[in-house]
Amino acid sequence: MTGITSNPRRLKGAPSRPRFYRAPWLHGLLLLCLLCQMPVSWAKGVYQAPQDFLQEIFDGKPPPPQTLWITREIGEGARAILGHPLRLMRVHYWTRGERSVWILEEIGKEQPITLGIVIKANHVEQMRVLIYRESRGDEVRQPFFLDQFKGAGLRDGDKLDRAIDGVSGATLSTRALTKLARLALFLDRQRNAHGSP
Amino acid sequence: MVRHKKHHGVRLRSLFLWHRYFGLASALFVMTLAVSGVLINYSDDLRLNKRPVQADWLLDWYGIAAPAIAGGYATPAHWITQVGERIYFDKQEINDAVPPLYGALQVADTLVVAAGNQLLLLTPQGEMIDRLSGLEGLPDSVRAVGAGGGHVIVRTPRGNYQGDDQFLTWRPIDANGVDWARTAPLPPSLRDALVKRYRGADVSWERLLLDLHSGRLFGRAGVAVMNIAALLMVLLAVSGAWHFFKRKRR
Repeated sequence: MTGITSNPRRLKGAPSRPRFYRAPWLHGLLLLCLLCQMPVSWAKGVYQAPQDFLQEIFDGKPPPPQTLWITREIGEGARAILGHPLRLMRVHYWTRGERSVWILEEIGKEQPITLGIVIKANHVEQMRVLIYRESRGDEVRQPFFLDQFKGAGLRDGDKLDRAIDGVSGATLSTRALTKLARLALFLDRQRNAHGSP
Repeated sequence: MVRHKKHHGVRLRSLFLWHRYFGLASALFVMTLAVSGVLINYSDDLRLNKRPVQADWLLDWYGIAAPAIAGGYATPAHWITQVGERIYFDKQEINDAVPPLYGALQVADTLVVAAGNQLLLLTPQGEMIDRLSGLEGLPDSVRAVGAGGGHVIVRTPRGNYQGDDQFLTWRPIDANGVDWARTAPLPPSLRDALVKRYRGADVSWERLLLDLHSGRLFGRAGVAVMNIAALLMVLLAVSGAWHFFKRKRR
């Protein structure tokens, strides 16, 4: 037992461990600090910042935003899709070549869902949930759900030309995303009809 | 045999007496539950969830107080004011506005409101034209909004920027000759109305009825009392049924 203190793991005469290692509360404090340093976006359900989405879609060089003014005709069409007025008198989009990108919002149950939608040749090329603020139902951001929209276009009545299988427990979010896909396709058609870039 | 019948009659009378006591004790609660329950069932039709409670004593009971209002930004015909975490166009809450409010002014026929990390564009009637953020090219961290030479100018920690007519392109400029939006004391009538509007925003008549129905309006004691009332109603039903069948058998 010579050379062994009451703590069997501590050798007598060995240099004492730094205070940090001996104080569990310091570990907790460090963890708390690290959590505070984490991007706030995660806590708020920001899966991808809209700016980052644009950067990704346009290979790091997004074009300047374009503006589509909501005329009476467009407003009525948007209202028919959403079930309520658009609440904005102009909407922005980004376009290069055949592609246009729309970043739109619609309330799922109580909070708005921010969706990035890429339209190419009157069909959905890609959709991504950028910000999800509801407490439940964020399964709609998963590819197994969003991939259903790929290639979707509009048929008569500005409805999607395919059925979208909902996610159980996220009915309202499913509905909101379907409306936004229809709205993006509708607005893209309007910008083409009005000769916007 | 006679003795048995007599004993049976006493028990029945006793039961009837208890039944009456249960009924009397639960009468007020039955009325409360029934009336509030029916109203809750028709809450959507009566738009009770959209109607704010305005009675001061009820809002005091809920402990809802309005924060102090420092002042507002006056435009030629309207006021833009922040009360707590809400921003108002006159007495109407701007739903998409996120505090803090950094300034508001009118340039030509557009109301420009700098709030949070956004610039809100409104018609003079308060309709939302657009919401601009960094995504649309707005400089980061806008801390004040002003006007100069017919253009909107924003102040940020990195300098001042002047927007184009569409508010989509911003170029750095000097701050000379900029008329920055400043707060001014609100008219007392508007301030009182905003305090009332703010206090009532979180408590609708539906909320009040739900809290009355569950007893939560009176805290934990209220919930306990409602639970006891529910138990009394069960006893009332049991004693009533018992009494009915006993009398039928006699």
